[in-house]
Amino acid sequence: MSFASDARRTSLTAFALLALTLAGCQSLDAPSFNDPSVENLTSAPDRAAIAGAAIGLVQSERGNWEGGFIAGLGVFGREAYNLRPEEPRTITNALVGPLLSTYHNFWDAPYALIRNGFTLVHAADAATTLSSAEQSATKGFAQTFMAQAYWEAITMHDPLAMPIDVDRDPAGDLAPLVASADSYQHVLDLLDEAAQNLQSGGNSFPFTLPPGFAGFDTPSTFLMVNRAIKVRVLKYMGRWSDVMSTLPATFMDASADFQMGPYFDYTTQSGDAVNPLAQARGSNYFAHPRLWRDAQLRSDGSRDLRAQRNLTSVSPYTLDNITVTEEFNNYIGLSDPVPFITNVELLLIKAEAEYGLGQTSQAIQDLNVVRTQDGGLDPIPDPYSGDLLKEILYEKRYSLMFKGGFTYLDARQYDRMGDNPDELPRARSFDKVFTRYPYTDDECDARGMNSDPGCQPVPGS
Amino acid sequence: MRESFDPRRIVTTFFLAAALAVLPGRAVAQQTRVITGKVVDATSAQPIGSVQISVVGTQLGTIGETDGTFRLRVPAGDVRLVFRLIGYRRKVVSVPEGQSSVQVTLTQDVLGMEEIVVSGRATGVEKRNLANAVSTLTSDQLVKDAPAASTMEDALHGKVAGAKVSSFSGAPGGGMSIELRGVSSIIGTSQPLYVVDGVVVSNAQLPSGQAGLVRAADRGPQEHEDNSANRISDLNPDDIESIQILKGPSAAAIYGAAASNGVVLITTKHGQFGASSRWHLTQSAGVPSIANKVGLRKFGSQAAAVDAFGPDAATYWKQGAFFDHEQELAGNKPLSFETNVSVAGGLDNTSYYLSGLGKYDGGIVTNTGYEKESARLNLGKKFGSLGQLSVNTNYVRAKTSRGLTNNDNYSISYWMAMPSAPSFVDLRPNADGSFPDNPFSRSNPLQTAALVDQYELVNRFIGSSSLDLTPITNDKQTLQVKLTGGLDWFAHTGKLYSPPDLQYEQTLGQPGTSSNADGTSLFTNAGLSAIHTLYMGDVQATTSAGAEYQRRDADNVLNTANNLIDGLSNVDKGTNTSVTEYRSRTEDFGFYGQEEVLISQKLLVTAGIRGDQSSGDADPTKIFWYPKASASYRITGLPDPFAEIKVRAAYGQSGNEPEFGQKFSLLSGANYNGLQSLTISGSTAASDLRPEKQTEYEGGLDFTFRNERAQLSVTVYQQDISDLLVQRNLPGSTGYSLLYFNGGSMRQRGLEAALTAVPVKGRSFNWSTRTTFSMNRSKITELTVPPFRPPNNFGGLGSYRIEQGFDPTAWVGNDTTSNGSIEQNVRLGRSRPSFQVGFSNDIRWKDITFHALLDWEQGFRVANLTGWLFDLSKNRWDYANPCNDPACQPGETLGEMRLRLYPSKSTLIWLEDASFLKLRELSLSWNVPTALLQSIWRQFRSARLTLSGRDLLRFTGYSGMDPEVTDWGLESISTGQDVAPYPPSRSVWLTLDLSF
Repeated sequence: MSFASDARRTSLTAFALLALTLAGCQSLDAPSFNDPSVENLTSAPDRAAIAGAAIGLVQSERGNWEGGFIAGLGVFGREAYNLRPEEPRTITNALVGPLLSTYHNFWDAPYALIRNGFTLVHAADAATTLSSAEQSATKGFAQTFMAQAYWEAITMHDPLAMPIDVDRDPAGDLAPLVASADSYQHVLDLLDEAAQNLQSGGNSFPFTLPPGFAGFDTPSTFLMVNRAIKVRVLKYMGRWSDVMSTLPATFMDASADFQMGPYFDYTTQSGDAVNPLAQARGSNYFAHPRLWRDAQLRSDGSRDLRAQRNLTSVSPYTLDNITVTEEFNNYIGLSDPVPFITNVELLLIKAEAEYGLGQTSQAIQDLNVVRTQDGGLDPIPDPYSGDLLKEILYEKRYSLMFKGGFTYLDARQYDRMGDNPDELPRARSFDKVFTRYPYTDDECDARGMNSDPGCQPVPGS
Repeated sequence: MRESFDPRRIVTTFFLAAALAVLPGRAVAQQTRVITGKVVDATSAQPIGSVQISVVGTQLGTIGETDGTFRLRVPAGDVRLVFRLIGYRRKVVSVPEGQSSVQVTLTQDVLGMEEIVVSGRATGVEKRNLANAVSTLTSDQLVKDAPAASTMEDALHGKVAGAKVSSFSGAPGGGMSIELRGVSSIIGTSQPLYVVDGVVVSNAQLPSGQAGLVRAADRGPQEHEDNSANRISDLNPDDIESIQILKGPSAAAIYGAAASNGVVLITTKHGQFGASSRWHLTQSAGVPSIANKVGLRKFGSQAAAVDAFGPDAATYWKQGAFFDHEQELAGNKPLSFETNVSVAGGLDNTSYYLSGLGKYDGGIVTNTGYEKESARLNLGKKFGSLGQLSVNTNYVRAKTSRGLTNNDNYSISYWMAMPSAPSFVDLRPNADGSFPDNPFSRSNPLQTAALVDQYELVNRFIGSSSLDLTPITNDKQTLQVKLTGGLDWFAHTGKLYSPPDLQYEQTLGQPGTSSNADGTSLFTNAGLSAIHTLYMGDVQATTSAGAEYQRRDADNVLNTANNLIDGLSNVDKGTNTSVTEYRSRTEDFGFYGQEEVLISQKLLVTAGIRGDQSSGDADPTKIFWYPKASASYRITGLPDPFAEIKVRAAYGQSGNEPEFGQKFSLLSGANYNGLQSLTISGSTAASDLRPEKQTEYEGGLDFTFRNERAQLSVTVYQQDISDLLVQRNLPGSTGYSLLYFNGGSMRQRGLEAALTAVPVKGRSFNWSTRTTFSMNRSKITELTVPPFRPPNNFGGLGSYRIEQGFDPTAWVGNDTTSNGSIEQNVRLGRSRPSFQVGFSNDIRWKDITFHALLDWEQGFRVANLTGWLFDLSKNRWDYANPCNDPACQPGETLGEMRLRLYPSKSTLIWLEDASFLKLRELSLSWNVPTALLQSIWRQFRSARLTLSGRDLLRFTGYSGMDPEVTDWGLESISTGQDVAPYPPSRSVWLTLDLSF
């Protein structure tokens, strides 16, 4: 054989070996680099994972409460306007409508929280590193937030039937729709189940709660938050005697600071959020002019202290034929917290419940406590010849200004949504008020319900 | 026990067998003689230089001199010589024993019939036999027709039947989408695979950090609304020898699981062995200018101004005051230039190609522009008869500043702020250089453009090497073994500094924003293939097989700082800082085998198969198979005017892999006042996530006319895509928002036609024309889940809907019925053209050449959301014009009517017909006569002076800036959303091409 063909043989053998090496050196593996995966919570979760998931619920509710109730229902209730020139949908979607199924308000976010809640409940049961009391405490904590989320979704779709049994494979059959009344009952039952878990939850949670929950950070003190949520749900159901019987278990205290209660924190730390409503951030939320205009006068002629405290004037700004002259003072700094439930809300609910039960004198008495101390106004006389409910709603509007959309929810409960200065005044002839959102388009598509009335746009009135 | 089929065993066994079965070659020790001669052009009788001459049946060969002469030592006895040169038809000449001199004439290969076109992973056939509709583009079509084109993709408009090339923004530096035969994926990528000299290169579009400032829905490192250019723009068009485009699986099947959207094969220039060095210099200078504006409203009265902008407008409005902010911002005409130098040549055993590029494209918007420097060295080395090694290296540095455009939520992006910047307010700088605040909005766009410092810098290195061994070459068979390897590495830095004294920064509470996006990407691949060709009389059979491994790694870090100390721009100088990082990796392994049989140069039959595995699949060990088959037959001996008709049919399957991360169910981590917070991220995946599969059937006819004066190609195709990767919005009640799974089928059908003709062909006057036509229709044929909205569009402002029985690229929106109720999900028109026509003409008269390219896209709509934003601020130029439309209510102006029919009520009002006809290229060149040239310097070989224009004219009914733009960059389905883009420009260039 010549040299040339030897060379050929050698080179080919070399390449064959190279092919062997090449073929053998592949593992084809690429792990998840960027985020932990759900397996961390479903199989043998450790205390850090449980803590993370628990705080995750607080973080989710922070967003839902601030965005949906304070801000969103603040606009619905003609407490605030959201004026953003580069995002005109904020004006038209909330004031003109119609509300479409493409809007996912009060649906996706609450149900995502509920999913996280179920994950935490199962993780607590699967966590061998937690004591039995800690497991109960964790479950009670999760279920309280889940009940709040259910309520948020149910009340903003009232009277539509709602999915309740959602703890299932996301790619499988969807949860059946449960009639509205039964859905509300489920919320109450879940709150009670949570309460029982908290009561057998020992002395402390297996995780640290954020500073906004100071004073409510053990199972027994957090139970007061649970009861307060139940009071609020019962109040909006009009179940006055149940409200009165549940109030004592909350943190309501006429002699304590009216603003006392659980709060949601914000910080400027990396990875955290700042308060989106803060003036310092150039928030687009302005006060509805009627808040300043309709504030009752004190005996010295100045306005209701709550108006003076919560509103500050700005140079007139007009967008799309809406003119505003004040903005809010409740949230100034980027790290200012938002309240979740306040003492004064519970006090006013008590007055409202007494009114509902016909106990007019007690109602006036409790109302005056808030009216004089929070608003600096003269007390109303007993008997009161005017519209007592109107006064109660006035106190709620001013003591809870831009704190949770209560103006809207109350107006809706008492059907006081007319276009007049005392109820929900429309700024422009084509502005509307809405009583609920429709089902989301994804939900309608998935359930084949596109012709159902609940899936049609809500025109408002 | 589970039976396992391990592909690695098959591959290695094959190569061992091949190695052991080597047949002995011929010894080389005989008597020789010398043959000399000259090669000339058949038509002009001019000598042809640098012709490749080889002796049939041996490794002997040479390259002719520039004057056409050659000298070659051959074995004694009768020999046959083969003469080859690109652009000419190959000729075989017999030189009997007694003859020692020969005169050869070569005829031009006008239609490129003998061009070698890719037919497999490592094989090629002559175009005359090709069974697929592969589009080929030469260097001339890229560079000569489109001098100083911004990027390579920019030169592809209107030249490839079946390709929709659109630039998604007018900003300098690229940013173009190429859709081959429509869109065949919903959430997978729709861009083709790019292969440069055998190496798969990255075409990523990376975030620049802009989204963090302007607060478009912030998706962190996977942001697509940043308007950054995709990376194929880094290549230097001057370095490209040819581009071959495989439009679908019937051609690209052999590229396997990444080839569903087609493959663009780019070959760069190489020197020639034994040729003397040739220099080439191109110098261009040009000027861009704005091609279209939105237009600002003129406020004729104070009442009109107050009505639109509130009581404050009274203090600013003056009779006759009109400041054209758009012109001020985008009216620049910066001088731009491009210099390209290259030298190619070789010694006996070595060839080289060295080139350098320096380019500066000024931007029409203040402080925007594109600069690129590139250097390339391609070396080839022959090892006698054993084989050849080639090494290609390319380094590119590209720096782009594209300004702040596209969607934002903060009125910072220039045309997002423009609606609230009325024309009666002077926003220009004061005498001391400071800018006035915009009293009606958060930002003064002129100030923003002047003070924000924003750029993306890319340093990139692409290297590939290929070792070609031919252990056996004789009359009966050849065996070629090819080892290839390559890498594509780049580092991308996106810097953005928004100083605290900007008007909007003062309102943000934390004045001053600085962000630094750092990304690196590394693609590596290695492959081995063997090609065995057997010659049996009229039959030629080629068997090829190979394996390849590929890995893609990327890591992107984004640092953002707010509330900058003393206005310093370092990202650690803010009191509020945030860091995000995103990493990804994909590893693929594939192998293939193919058999090609060519009979009598007329019938070609091919069959092959490819297998692929990927780390992105839920099961990385599973192999997915992609077969292919094709046949073509040339019918000759036809009556006039036909010279031949080729009938062809092809079939192939390919895949589209899931992207990194889609198979994971993740938790999002956040910080809640110092405590770790974990929430389910919202997306989850099916447990059997796998690649999409696309099957294509293609058939066609190629008519070649007598004297090769014209050729007409007609192709029809059908693509059936199954296992569509879909990302379904899960109904909110599940607690998740997205599910990745394979769950649908889609069908595309289309027609492509290309006519190339030389109607007039003479010595001094020549006219050639090329027309391409394409149309494409798609439909979702099966969907296992309820209809859903694909990601990245704006809902009621014009979106898309994936629903069985419907076109996935059709626009969907709301419509108000006659009784006032609103119907949702109404189909309102096409987002892709009904058909496209490219029409190009070249007319040569003596030394002058005229070239024009028209691009016509007809029958589609674009959502003019920019127009809507202007209307909402009552600032659209025709807002106050009286309304004559039948839909108007009495007394309404145009703007009021449009607002009343707000897009959520009647989306069609802003989905405008965007059909267009654009004059993309226009040029006039003068070939300097050789005599004149050589009187200046004898060494000059040719020179050409060209005056050219790009995008000079546009005809369209669309009222927005440009009908091609879109907010979302390289999205597959969701395109056509015009949200405050960078305006389009036209440019005029003067170019000198010199070779010596």
